[in-house]
Amino acid sequence: MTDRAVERVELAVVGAGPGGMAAATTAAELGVRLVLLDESAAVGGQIFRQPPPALAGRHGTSVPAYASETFGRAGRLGDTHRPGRTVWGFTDDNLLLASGPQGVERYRADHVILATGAYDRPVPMPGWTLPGVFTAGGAQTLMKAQRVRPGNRVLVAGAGPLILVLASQLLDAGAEVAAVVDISSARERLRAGLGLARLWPVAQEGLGYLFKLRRRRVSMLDGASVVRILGESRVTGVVVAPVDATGRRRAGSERRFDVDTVCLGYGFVPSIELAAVRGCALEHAPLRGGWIPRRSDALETTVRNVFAVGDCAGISGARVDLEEGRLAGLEVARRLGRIAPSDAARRIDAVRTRLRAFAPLRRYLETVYQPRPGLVELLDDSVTVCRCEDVTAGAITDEIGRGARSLQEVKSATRVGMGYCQARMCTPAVTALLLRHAGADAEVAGAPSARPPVRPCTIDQLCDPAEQPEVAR
Amino acid sequence: MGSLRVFREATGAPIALTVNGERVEAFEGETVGAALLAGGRTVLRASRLGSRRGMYCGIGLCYECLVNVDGVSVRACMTPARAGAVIDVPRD
Repeated sequence: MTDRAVERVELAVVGAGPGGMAAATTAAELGVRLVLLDESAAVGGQIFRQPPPALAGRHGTSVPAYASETFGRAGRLGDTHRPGRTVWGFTDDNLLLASGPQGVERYRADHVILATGAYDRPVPMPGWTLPGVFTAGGAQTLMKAQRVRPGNRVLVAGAGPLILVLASQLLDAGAEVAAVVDISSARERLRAGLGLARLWPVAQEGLGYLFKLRRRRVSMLDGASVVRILGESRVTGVVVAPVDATGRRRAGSERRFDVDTVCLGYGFVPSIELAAVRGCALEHAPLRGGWIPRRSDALETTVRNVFAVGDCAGISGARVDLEEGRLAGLEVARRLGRIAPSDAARRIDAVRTRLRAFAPLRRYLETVYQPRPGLVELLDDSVTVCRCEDVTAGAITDEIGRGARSLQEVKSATRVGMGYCQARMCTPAVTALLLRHAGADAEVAGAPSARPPVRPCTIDQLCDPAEQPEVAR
Repeated sequence: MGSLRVFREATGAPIALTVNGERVEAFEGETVGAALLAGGRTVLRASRLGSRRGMYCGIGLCYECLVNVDGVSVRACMTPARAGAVIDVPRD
C-alpha cells in the first residue's frame, strides 16, 4: 500500500444526510480540512433524496424550511463533498476505505464523524418476499428520486409519521391509497402527541398530513397490521387484522384489500456497521431502534475522536440529526483549535438547548416506533426470514429447539444472514425469534457482527488499479 | 398496469433498453429498477429456491433486485439505465 494513495484529512464525515451535512458545513466553515463521503450523487441522504440532474427538471424535490439553510451551505462544500463513495472499511489507525468512481480510496482521518443513517425495519410475514412489497423508504425514494410510483393501488402499513408522509406522496404521485394501517392505537398516539404541542411546527407538519388524508377520504385503520400478503408471482392483495400494543393478533375480524402494491414502514434500524468494525462499544436500546454506539455528551463514541450523529446513533428524525451534526462539527473544530473556547462553549450550549427542546419529539418517536415483539407471531414455519439464502422461520426455530441461543449459532447452522445483504434484512427477526423461543435477551442473542467490507464489493472495487500488475488490468 | 411514471412530460432524454429481447423505453436518469417498474415489470430475479423477487428496500441494501444487465449482476435500484443495455429477468 503506497502513501501516495492515502489522503490525509483532519476530519472525515461519512454520510451526507442531515447529520453529515450539518457536521461537514459547520466544521468546514471553521477551517477544518475535511472530506464528506457519501454514496449518492447529491447531498440529502435518504430523507431529502434528490433526483439525478437528467430527471430533476422543474420538479426538483423541495426541502423543508428547517433544512434549507444547511442545504445551501452544503452546496458550497465544493470538492470536499465526495459523492459516489461507498465506505466499506474503518481500521484501528483511522484509515477509511471506500470504493469510488476510480476504484479504492483511502482516507487517514484525525477525526471521524459517522452519520450513516438508518433503514426501514424489515418485518417478515407471509408473502413479504413477493414482488410488489416495498419498504416505505424504498417507495419514497422511487417517487422522490425517480418520479416513478411503486404501484397504482397501494396499501401502506406500519407506524409513525412516516406512513402518513408516504401515503400523501403516493396520492400526489397519482396512486390510489387503499388504506393506511397504523399499528399503534389512536390513544397511544394521542397521549404521546400531546407533548408535541410545545413543538408546534412539528405537530403542524404531522397534522397537515393527517388532514390531507382525511380530506382525500383515505381509509385509516388504527391498532392493526398487515398479517398476510397475497399473490403468486406478485402482490394481488393483503389481509389486515387488529393487533394489540405489542403487535400480537387480537380478537376481531380480518379485512382483505385487493391491491397491487404494499408499502411497509415499521420503524427503523440504525446503520451501525462502521462503528462496529471500528470497535466502538455498542449498547442495546430497543426504543432507539436496537443496537447503537454508546456516546458521550459530546456525541463521541467509546473510540477517541470517533463521533456518531443522527439516526445511526438512535432514531431521532432529521431535525435532531441536524443539531447533532452541528454539535459534533463544533466539537471537532474546538479540539483542533479552530474556534475560540468561549465561542465554542456558547455555540455548543445553544445547540444543546435546541436539542433539549426536541425531547417531546424523541418521546413521540419512541412511542410510535416502539418494538412490537408480538409481530414475530406472524411467522409461521414456512415464511422466508432470510431473503438472500431462503432460510425459513421453521429452520430457525428448529435450530433454537436444538439449543442455538445466539445470532452466531443460528447463522452457523442455517446460513441465515450470510448473503449479500450482510444480515441487514433478517437480523431483527432472528433476534425476535431467539427472544420468543429461547427466552434469550437481546444482549445474549448478540449484536450483529460486522467485518470489512461492510458493503458487498466486487474484486475490482477492492483493488487499486495502480497496484495491479499489467496483466491483471 | 399502465406506466407508473408520475409526470407525463419526460425530463430525461428517451433511451431504449432490451428486456428479455423486447424493446423497453426508459429515460436518462432513471435506474434500471425504476425503468422496469415503470413499464410494469416487478419480477427481477428468482431466489435460490426459485421464488420470484423484486425491488424491496429500494436503497441498495437488500440485494433483492439483483438483475442481469449486459451479463453482469447489479442492483437494479442503484444502477443507472444506459441506452442499449441488454437486461434479462425471469418470466413471471
